[in-house]
Amino acid sequence: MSVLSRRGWAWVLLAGALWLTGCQEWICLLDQNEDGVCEPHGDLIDEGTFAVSPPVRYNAGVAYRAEAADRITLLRTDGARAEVVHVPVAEQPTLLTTTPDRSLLLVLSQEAQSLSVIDPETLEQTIYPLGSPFDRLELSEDGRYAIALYSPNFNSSAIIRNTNEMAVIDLAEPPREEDLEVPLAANPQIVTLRSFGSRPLDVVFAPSFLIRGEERRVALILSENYVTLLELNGFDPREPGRNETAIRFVQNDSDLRLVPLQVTWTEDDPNRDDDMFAFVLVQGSDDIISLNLLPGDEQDLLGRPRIRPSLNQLTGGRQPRSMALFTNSQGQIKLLTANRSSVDLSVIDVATSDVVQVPLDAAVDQVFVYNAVNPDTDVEEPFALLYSTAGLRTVYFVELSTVEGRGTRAVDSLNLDSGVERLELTPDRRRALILHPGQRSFSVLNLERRSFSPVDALAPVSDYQFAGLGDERLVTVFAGEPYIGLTELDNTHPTPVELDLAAVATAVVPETNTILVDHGRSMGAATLLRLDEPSRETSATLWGFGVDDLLQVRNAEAR
Amino acid sequence: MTTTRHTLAWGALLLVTLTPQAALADWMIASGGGDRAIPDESFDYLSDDDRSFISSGFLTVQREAFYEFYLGVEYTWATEDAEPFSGLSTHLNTTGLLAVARLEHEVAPWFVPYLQVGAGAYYARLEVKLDDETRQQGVWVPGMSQLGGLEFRLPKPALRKVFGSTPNDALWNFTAGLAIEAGYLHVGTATFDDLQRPAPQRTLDPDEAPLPASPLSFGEVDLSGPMLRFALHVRF
Repeated sequence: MSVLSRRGWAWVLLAGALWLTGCQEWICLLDQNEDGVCEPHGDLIDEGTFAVSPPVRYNAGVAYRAEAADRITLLRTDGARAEVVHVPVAEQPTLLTTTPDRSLLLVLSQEAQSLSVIDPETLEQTIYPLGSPFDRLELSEDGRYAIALYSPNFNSSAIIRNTNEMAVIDLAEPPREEDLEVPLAANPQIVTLRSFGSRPLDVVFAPSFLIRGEERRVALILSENYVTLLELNGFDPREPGRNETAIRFVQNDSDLRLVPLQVTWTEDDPNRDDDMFAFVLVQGSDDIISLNLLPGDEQDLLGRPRIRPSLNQLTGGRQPRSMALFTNSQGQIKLLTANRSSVDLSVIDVATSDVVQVPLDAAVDQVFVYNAVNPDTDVEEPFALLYSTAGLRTVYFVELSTVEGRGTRAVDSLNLDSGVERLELTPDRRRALILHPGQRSFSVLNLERRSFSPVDALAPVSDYQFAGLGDERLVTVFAGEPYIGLTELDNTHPTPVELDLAAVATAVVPETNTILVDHGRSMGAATLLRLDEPSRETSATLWGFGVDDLLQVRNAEAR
Repeated sequence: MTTTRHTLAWGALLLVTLTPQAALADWMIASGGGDRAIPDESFDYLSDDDRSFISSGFLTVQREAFYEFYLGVEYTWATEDAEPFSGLSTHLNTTGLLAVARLEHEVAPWFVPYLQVGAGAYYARLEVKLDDETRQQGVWVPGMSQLGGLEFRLPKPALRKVFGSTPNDALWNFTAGLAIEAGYLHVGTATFDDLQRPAPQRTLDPDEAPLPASPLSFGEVDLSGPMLRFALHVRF
C-alpha cells in the first residue's frame, strides 16, 4: 500500500518544487554576480571611516571629498542656495584640489594610483593613470602641468617605493601611451630623478618662457643640497633622462646641509626671449643661487637647443630668510632679501650683482613687494613691506624707487600692538591681515596709509580661521561656536552672524555670491549665506549632503 | 523589541491552546523565524555581512474557511543592524501585517504540504547614526508574499490515543508540527528621502526660528527577496 495517494504526490511535488525554487534562488544569492553567474557577493562598499573632507572652493561652489564613498560632492552655490551633485571617482580619493584658476577639480587616488581631472560644470572626467600611489600634487600657475610625487613624510605600507619617482601630467593633453615613431611621450610621463642623497622636498614651476621662439616649460625640483631642472614640454621618449638637469650646491665630501626654501623667477629682459632666471634662497648659506636658463649649443632630437643652466651666486646680507623681486623705473630687476643675522635689507641688481645694504633697527625675516600711490609724488610706485615672525612688533615700509639712493631715509616703520605670527595681503594688496601670536586680537594694516586697526577677539586668534580675505570684507570663524564674524576692512567694523550649528571652517565663493560655513559634520553640514547680504534672514542650512543618496553609491571597484 | 514580540506571540499561542475547542474549531496558529536574502545592492549599506540577509520573525493566525483552505492574518517583523563605515551605523526595522490565504493537503497524517499567499503593508523605519547623531525616518510600503511549505506534524490519531480524547474534547483536533517554508516576499521600494534635520546647537530666542534646512535623502532600497523560514504549527 502506498503511503501517499496520487493527489498527495502531486501536492508534494508542487510544494517541493516551489520550495526548491525559492530555496535555490535564496542559496544562489550567496553566490551570484551581475551576470547571473554564481560567485561570492563582493563588497559593494569600501571600508574605512565615513567623513567628508574640509571644503575646497572652486569657481562655482565648494567641493567635498568622501573617501569611503568613492565620490566627491559638489555644492553648486548661488547665494544661500546650492545644488548638490555627486561625482563618482576612482577608488578611495585621497586628495582633492583645484587648478589655480579654480576651474577644474583634481582628485588624486592612492588606491587606484590615478589622477582624475573633473570639469565641475560638465562633470566630464579625465583619468590619468599614475602607476604609483603618490600622495602629493603640485600645479603650475597656469594649471597646464601637474606633478604628482611623494611627500617627504610619506607613510607607506608598500614594501618598496621609489621616493625620487614622480609623474608629470600635461593637463591640456589626454592620457596616452608613449609612441617612439612619432615621437610622442607618454602622458603622464613617469620620471625618476637622479638622486644625490636626498629626495624631492618641493616643486616650483617656472612661468612659460621662450627660447629661440619656442615655448619652454620647466620646473625646479628642490632637494637638500641640489635642485633638479625638469623640462615639462617636448619630452622625447627616445632620450629618457635627458629632460632633467641636476644642479648641485655642494661637493660630494661636504658636510653642509643646504635646504632650498624659496624660488622666484624672472626674465632678465622681457623683450629678449633667450633666458629665464631662477633665484633660489637656501637655508644654510648666505648666498642666493642664481640660475640663468640659457640655450645651449647642443640640440635635442627634436632640434631644440638644450637648456643650459648657468649658476651664479649673489651675495647680500647674512642668513637671508625671504626674498622678493621688483623692477625699478629704469627697467632694472632688483632682488630684495630680508636678512636675519645682518639686520638689514639687501637690494641686489640681478644683472650686475651690485648690492646695496639698507640697515634696519631690528632683524626681519619676511619681505613683500606691493604697489601703492606715493603720497609725495602721487604716482603709483613699488614698496616693500618688511616684518619678522620672531616676535618683533615693528613693520617696515620701504620706498623702493629711492631706496638705493636714500638708504634708511626710504624706510618708514610702524609699531604694532604685538608681534606678527602671520601676515596675509588682500587680493588688491592694499591691506594686510596680521595675526598676533598668542593674542586675542588681530590687526588690519592699511599699506597706503601705513596705519593699522586692531580688532579684539574672544580667544587667541590661533583658534580662528580667516577666509574670504577679499578687498572689502574678512570672514572669521571661531571653531566650535555657532557664529561667524564679518569685518569691514575699511573701518574694521565687526558684525557677528548667529548660526544654528557650530562653525568649523569657512569658504567664500565670490563668483556665486556665497559664504559657506562648514560645520565639520561627517554627514556633511554647511550654512550658506549671501556674500552681499550676510545675515541670518538670508541664510539656509544644507545638511546631510555627505550621506545623500548613499544607498545608491557603488564603490569604484564595483562600478 | 524582538523579545517583546516573541513573548506576545508565544503568549497568544498559549492563550489559544488553553481556549475551549468549541470556540476555536479549525484554527491554526504558527510562529517562527528565518532569513530573507535581499538582492538589491543598496541593502549592502544596511546589512552587517556580505550576504545581505535580514533576520525575520512571524506570527500567523488562520482559520479553515473551506476544506483545507485557510484564511487569516500574519504579522511579521525583521531587523538588521549594520556599520558599513567606521563611525556610521544603521538600524533597519520593518514590521508588516498581511492578509493570508493558505491551501494545504494532508497527504499523510504526519505530512502536510501547503501553499500560502499574502498581501498587506510594511512599515520600514531606518535609523542612521553618524558622529553620535541619530536621524530616522519611517515609510509605509505595500507587500505581497508567496511561499510553499512542508509541515511535519504529530498524527492526530496517535495523539488522541495518548490524550484519550473523544470528539467532544478540546484536544480532539489538536496537533502540532514543524514546518519549513520557502518563498518570495515582494516589498515596494522604501525611499528614505526625508530624514530628520539636526536641532540647533544654541538656544534660539523665543521669536527666532531655526534656519531653513534642506531635507536629507539617504536613498532607496528594495527590500524584496526570497525567504527561508521555519515554523511551529499548532492546530485545534
